[in-house]
Amino acid sequence: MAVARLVFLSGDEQDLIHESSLKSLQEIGMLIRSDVTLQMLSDSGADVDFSKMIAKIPEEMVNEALSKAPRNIRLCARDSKHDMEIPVSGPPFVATSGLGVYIRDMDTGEKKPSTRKDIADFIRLGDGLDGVDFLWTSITANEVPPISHGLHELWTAMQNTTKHVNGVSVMGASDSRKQVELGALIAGSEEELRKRPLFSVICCSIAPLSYEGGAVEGMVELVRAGIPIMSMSMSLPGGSSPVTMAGTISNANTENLASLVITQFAAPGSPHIYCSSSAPISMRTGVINYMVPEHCIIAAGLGQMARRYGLPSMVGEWGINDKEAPGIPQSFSEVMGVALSSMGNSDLISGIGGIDAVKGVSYEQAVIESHIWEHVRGFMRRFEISDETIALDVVKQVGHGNSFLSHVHTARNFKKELFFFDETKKDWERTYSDAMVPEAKEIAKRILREHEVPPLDGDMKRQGDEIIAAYEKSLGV
Amino acid sequence: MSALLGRNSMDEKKLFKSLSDAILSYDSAAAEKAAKDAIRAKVDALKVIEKGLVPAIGKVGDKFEKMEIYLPELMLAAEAMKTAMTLLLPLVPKDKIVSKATVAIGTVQGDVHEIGKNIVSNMLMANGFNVIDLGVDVKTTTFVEEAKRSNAKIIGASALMSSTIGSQKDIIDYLVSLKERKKFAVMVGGGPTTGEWSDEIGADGWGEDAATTIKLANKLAKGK
Repeated sequence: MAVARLVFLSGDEQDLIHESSLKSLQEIGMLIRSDVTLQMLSDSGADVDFSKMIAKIPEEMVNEALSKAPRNIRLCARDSKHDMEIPVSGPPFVATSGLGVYIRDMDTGEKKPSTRKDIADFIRLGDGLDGVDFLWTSITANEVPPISHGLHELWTAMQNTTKHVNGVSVMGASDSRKQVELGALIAGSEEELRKRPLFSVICCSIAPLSYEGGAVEGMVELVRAGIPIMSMSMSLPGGSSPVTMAGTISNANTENLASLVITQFAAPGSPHIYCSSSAPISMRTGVINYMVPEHCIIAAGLGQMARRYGLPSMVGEWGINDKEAPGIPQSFSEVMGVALSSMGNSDLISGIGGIDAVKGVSYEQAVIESHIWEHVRGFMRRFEISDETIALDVVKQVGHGNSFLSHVHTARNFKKELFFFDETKKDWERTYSDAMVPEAKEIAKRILREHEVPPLDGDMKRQGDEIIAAYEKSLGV
Repeated sequence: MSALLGRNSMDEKKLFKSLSDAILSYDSAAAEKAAKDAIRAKVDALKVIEKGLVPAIGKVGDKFEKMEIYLPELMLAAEAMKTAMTLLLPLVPKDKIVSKATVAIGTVQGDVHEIGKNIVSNMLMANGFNVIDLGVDVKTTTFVEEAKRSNAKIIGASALMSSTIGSQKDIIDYLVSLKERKKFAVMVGGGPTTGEWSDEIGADGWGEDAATTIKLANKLAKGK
């Protein structure tokens, strides 16, 4: 099957990136602010300086980790029809944006600090949108104790979708343990959850080349329970990585390999997804800048590196608006990068509904981007390349200079081979005068009014609430 | 070398120019050398700062405003300025040191992101503030203690994670509990922060990016 993909690195260039990452791990090492993780790495063969908290990781450990990591991962959902098998052979699966701190009210346009109620609504909207395949927890529960916010977000999200949920918060081992317990409630048991992971979690390294203690210990707890993790590097050219694209790709690759070593030595064969959210910082303001060509170039390069290793990936991003109000405020030139970042070998993508450089989300934006993605997805359909589809026999029958229009081959195959834009949605994309927002608002409101997500069975909701309450009590909050 | 230079105004002018040139060419090594030359020549350190460094960093700021240069050049100029100041400041009598205000700045507890904080820290310094950089993962109590110790007028708290911005509120709540809220202006910034968040927690201002943070600090230095 053939799929159109953006290729950036040649084979030799991939080799050089890989070798540079090995060298970086071996000579510069990773700063890991966790004694237990450093001890584990030291026991496994890394050269660890405990006073500086730096682990230098030899090539053999990287190779061993690569050989242990699973090549195929099934990200499961409450409703198995939404299960996602990665790597994909066609277009990537796309999720909502995250992790923002506010939601934009549809009626007043007001930026409100988000709460669990907003998470519930936004996730349910995503559940009802065809262009959204899985749900990031998307926004922060601002009204709960900060120490347990991730648990509330995960639990609220899982109640409001039957699609796969991707958590964005790792505070430490005990917090991760509670995430597993919440997932196990819905799955039936921890063993069932291991077989059918209903959620996965993004675990961020901090570029360049470091790991915060709670994050890395939380990641280890999750992989030991069989929860898939995404080892997200935020290598920002000129900020947290070299300003060169090669330096950034190498740095993000290095951090991903380091994370892989940690997960595969902590829990051999645990599901690990190669991940990055990397875009340059603005050379004027220092703020991360998603609406630039380099954003998709990095995604394409890293997607190729993930494929080279045979690891599933989440390295691309959707999201065509970094302003505060919903709509399409960007030029075609800027939006192009977002569309192209989907074509760069990433299996999973995030970003639908995000505004204000991921600080917030908007219902209308989610509708707009879901619809646009449904069209862009058409550019990445799979095409069979075979004797049958090459159709020399048909060419012979039609003969020199004649038309294929009336041949039965055309009638039989055109709907399969050609993409048909949804005319309403296409018309809608042209409504630049009001940036599509009124129409999107109407659709978002209709979905929120009509779309129902089956509630969790019986006593499950109360039990989950109790897990969180007991955890908070144990922490004294 | 110092014997040859003497102390006439011609030589002083040369010294000021070499310092100024060092800043304008973003060259820390040259700034260090020029500052050492000035010290060896026994030129008044305050005069060196006022005539050599301050006008140069002002020019750099203007160029940035006009978009002739970008953040990397601005940061390098600030580094060069810092190098020279580290050598010259100890030689200026304490009562003669004039800064707009002292700012105690750091990344909040539980958060080890430092790039944004460093940009702001350097730019504040380049803009005539006395900057006490507390580093990253700074405890709430440390922010307040260090601000008191250094007689700071402004506390700057950076947070890059949605799970750590709560610590910005903690600083303000802590000041309130000590009944010392009015003693310090608190400015907040970092990826997940917003103007609304700043208002909600009762901060004195939000720095959307480095340049607006400097404007904010200038305002806060004059009084809240």
